[in-house]
Amino acid sequence: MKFETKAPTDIDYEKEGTMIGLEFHQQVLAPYGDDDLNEKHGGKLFCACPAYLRDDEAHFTLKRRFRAMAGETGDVDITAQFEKMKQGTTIYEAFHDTTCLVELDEEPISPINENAMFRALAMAKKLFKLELVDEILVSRKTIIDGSNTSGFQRTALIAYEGKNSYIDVNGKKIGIYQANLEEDSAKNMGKEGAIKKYRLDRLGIPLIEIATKPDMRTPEEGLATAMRIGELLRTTGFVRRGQGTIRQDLNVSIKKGTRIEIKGVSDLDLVQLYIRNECIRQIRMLEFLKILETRKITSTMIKKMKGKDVSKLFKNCDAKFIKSALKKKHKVIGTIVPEFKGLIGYELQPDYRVGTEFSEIAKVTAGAGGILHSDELPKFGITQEEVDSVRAQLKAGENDGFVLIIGPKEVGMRTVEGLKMAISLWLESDGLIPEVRSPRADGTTGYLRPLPGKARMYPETDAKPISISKYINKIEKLEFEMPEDRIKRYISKMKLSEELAIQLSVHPQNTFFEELVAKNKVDANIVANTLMSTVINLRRANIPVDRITNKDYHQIFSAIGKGVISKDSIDKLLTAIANSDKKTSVNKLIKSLGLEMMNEEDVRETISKVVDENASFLERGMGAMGPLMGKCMKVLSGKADGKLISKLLKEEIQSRLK
Amino acid sequence: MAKKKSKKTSTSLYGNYNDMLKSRFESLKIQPGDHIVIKYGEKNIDGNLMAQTEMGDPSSIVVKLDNGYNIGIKVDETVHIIKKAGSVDLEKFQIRVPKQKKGLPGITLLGTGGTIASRIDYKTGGVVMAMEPEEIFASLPELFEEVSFDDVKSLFTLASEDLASPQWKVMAKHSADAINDGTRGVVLLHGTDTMGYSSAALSFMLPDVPVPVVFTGAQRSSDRGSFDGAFNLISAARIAANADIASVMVCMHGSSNDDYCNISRGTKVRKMHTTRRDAFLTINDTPMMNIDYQGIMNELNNDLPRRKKGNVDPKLEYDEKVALIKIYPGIAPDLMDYYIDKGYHGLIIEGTGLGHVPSFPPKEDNRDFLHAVKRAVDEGIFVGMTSQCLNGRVHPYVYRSTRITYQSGVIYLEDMLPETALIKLGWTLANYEDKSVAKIMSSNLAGEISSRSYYQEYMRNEI
Repeated sequence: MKFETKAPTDIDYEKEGTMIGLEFHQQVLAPYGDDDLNEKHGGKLFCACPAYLRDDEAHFTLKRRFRAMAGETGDVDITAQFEKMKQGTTIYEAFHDTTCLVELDEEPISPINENAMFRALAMAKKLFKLELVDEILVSRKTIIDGSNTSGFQRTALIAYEGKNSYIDVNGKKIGIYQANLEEDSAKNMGKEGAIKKYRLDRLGIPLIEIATKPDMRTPEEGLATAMRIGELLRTTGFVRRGQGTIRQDLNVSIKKGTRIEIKGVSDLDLVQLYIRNECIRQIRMLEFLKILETRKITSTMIKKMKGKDVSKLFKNCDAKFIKSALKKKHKVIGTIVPEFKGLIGYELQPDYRVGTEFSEIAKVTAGAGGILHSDELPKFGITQEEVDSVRAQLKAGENDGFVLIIGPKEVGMRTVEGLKMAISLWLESDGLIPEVRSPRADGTTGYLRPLPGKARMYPETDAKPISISKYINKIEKLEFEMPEDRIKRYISKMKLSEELAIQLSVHPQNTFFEELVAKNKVDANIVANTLMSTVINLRRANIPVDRITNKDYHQIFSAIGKGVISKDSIDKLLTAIANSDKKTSVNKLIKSLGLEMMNEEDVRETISKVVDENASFLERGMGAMGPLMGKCMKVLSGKADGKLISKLLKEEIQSRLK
Repeated sequence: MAKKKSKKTSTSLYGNYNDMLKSRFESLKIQPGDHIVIKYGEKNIDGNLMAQTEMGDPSSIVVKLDNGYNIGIKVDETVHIIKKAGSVDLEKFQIRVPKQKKGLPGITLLGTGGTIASRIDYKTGGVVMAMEPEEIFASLPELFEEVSFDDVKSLFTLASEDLASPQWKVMAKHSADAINDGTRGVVLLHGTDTMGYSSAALSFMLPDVPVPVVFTGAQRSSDRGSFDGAFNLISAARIAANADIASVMVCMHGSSNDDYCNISRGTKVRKMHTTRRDAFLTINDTPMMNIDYQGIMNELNNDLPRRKKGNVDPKLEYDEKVALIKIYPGIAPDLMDYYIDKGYHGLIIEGTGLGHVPSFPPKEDNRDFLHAVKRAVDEGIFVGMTSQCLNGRVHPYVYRSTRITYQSGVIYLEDMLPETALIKLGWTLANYEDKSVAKIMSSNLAGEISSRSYYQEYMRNEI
């Protein structure tokens, strides 16, 4: 069978029968307790820890090992079994003050975060017109990749599809069929050798998951829907914002293909590319399976693959990476892939070959760094001679391909087992296998694991069923302002610029912004600028602005509203608060920094002094205004309004010129 | 007396549903697991019926949807329920016992219940003790690469708070029989809450035991990937099969990591945390050894009883007329009178500090506990003194009050744990003549009293 090695870069989505659905995950902002960190960052779903994401060094680490356990139906979950092959040890990074025994899987959960539950229910009902369940039942979803210390994720279905459960995306109805409230997983911190590392600051943050029906037909529709859902959620002020607070799973299928889940896409810019490349991959994979069939490759042949230590053949190899590997006592493990010659370079996605897929399989099944394969060699400093000797040693037939894994011997051997399992699954199933794929930075997707079956959900024993009846009235009364309406109000009533209004309309702090303006009788623009630019600039300058509490903000704007300090002092004051011991009150800081504004008489006196000291400028007549204003501002900045200084200086100069 | 029926694992078939729903299900012949459709108002829910839990709303129908989620739908009598084909079997558990390999050391596994032998009851959503020891094997295939099982038996399926001397006797008897039949070691699966009591009981009931008898359990449930019982059980089995140590012991996580287990003397171990994996600490001693994930054993104690040939002659009698009294400020002396009047044979006091009871309180307070203690001793009741500090030793000479207490005939039990002292007393009273009770209680039989206190034995808060 003839085939094109290169994958196409575009396809006819309609002709292929493309269907796209989204599972949109957004962190919910919901304090569990009333401490400052909880107030500011929100809390977790099942313990009183703050949802505080940290960049500093962990206070301590724990090491755990996971096992596949028999599930509800008595079978060990296929996904869990697959993960078990990895035999991974996991290291968890934790903090003495912002993580507790619940995240460490050392204590049963506390009662559910009621704020989070209320907010999630309200969003499900009001934004997406879903039907709320009457009783929320928390389940455990088996996940033993290490991202949850317990080996499962707690999740609850809170709302299901009703008659009007859809959103309007550019005039098209996109159906919404379910909302879940669940725990976020621990943050992946990479690997230390073969050991996976996770950080527990993120584990347990409440997530609302909004699942759409597969109503999107093109990558453009996929992106537009994701953006609209995000916008709607953010307009409520009930969600957290910033990098990593949103993740979505994309479910993509073509008519002849199958449902593939692309897990954890956080970069909206790449959504279209992932959808496109997945459609291409399904088309290409189907063609590839046909090629395998014409070559009469069977799973029995594949299951005979065996890893062999061929390190000796590379004793004198010039390739640096091989030299350094052998020095570390790593091995070169080789296996033939029967009848695969010329197929490993076949592209499944643009610039993503079967060999790349092998690499991804090696990575997830064995923690291998990567592989080399027959279709790309000789290259990278490996000679034709070495290739020939590998073929001879592996007893490769003329049409056999081969794969080399460089690393610890067991990693190599496990990789061979992983490849055997994956390729024989391709051959044994009729068509494509439903699987979970991970988004790669270049817009392609890599193999992650088979799509888990039903066995992985069972009841959370440490939580009681929660009747939602007491929230119903409050939810009914709640009106969310749509982003469009909020922008209008910000422009017309609060006199914000259009740009600021658009930014703030979907900002999670917009309710806080309005509260600051209303309570402290202060110009909305001052508050908006502070939240949207001053704070962000300070953060960029490495000022620990997260230490500033909501109470601090109220005190600052109250001081401005009362005319105690000038708005020009805000960044100085914020910096001081962020760097303070947090025991000194804001008002004391204002005094000790000398930020209190002067009364008009004192300002006039100061200006008079400045003019005295710089009398020579007066020779320029009113032309002295410029240089003298500079001198005055130096002394008075932050202590008096610029306009007032200018007015009084003008009067002073005029009186002296008389 | 008639024998008690064994406890049911599920409260009832339907759990906590109200009568309307129960009778509706019954008349439609719908059982949990059956595929149903609920029509209620505009709602149309398709899924499998689940039982309602004790804490759930009796008027909400719990349904497992096709995607695995459970939801509750509140209904009244206008609900329309339809039975459909396709029920799921909610309680199907496969018991997989891998083939035993020849030539491996043979050990005996005895189940008593507890978290390690518990699993989720999918009908009620609660945790029940219904697991046969074999069920654990499904997740521990590697065990069969290292040991073979001479016998696997479930003695009871009881929570640890429901175990007492009748069960200790059964555990000890079965252990002794297995040992005398030549097993290399015994592993007991046990609830963690009272594991320390049972390990103390067997320490005395199996005097001079020639092989390891190892208690183990779990602090996390067996359904989860982070189940700590798997590593605990593997380690216990390795100790039973291979350790050169002959004692009744407890084998549980030594840290919050899955990196090693501590092996503690059965008489010197205590559950010191409600939930952590490393809840078990050796008190007033160092652990006998630890064992890491690969099974490498590291002896921590110079004074280990070694594995030997020979049988064990169990001493199973136990006198239940013993009690443990914890002293607290303001304790009423008539608590003591209660035990005396009820005919108790022995009492262990968990005194304050070095072993105090209120001895010279202001007269008008009527709190002279020592007076009541004297009465007990005068009536021939053995009274032993331990400390509620747990760590450290009691001492009768330092203060006037302890001297007087001691002189009134209370026996100060050195660094023995209060619970261990209680169990030793019940056992001693049943197996020895009255005149030797004081002597036996003061002698070290199974590591319960150590002659020296070492610096490293006390765990402090170190941050």
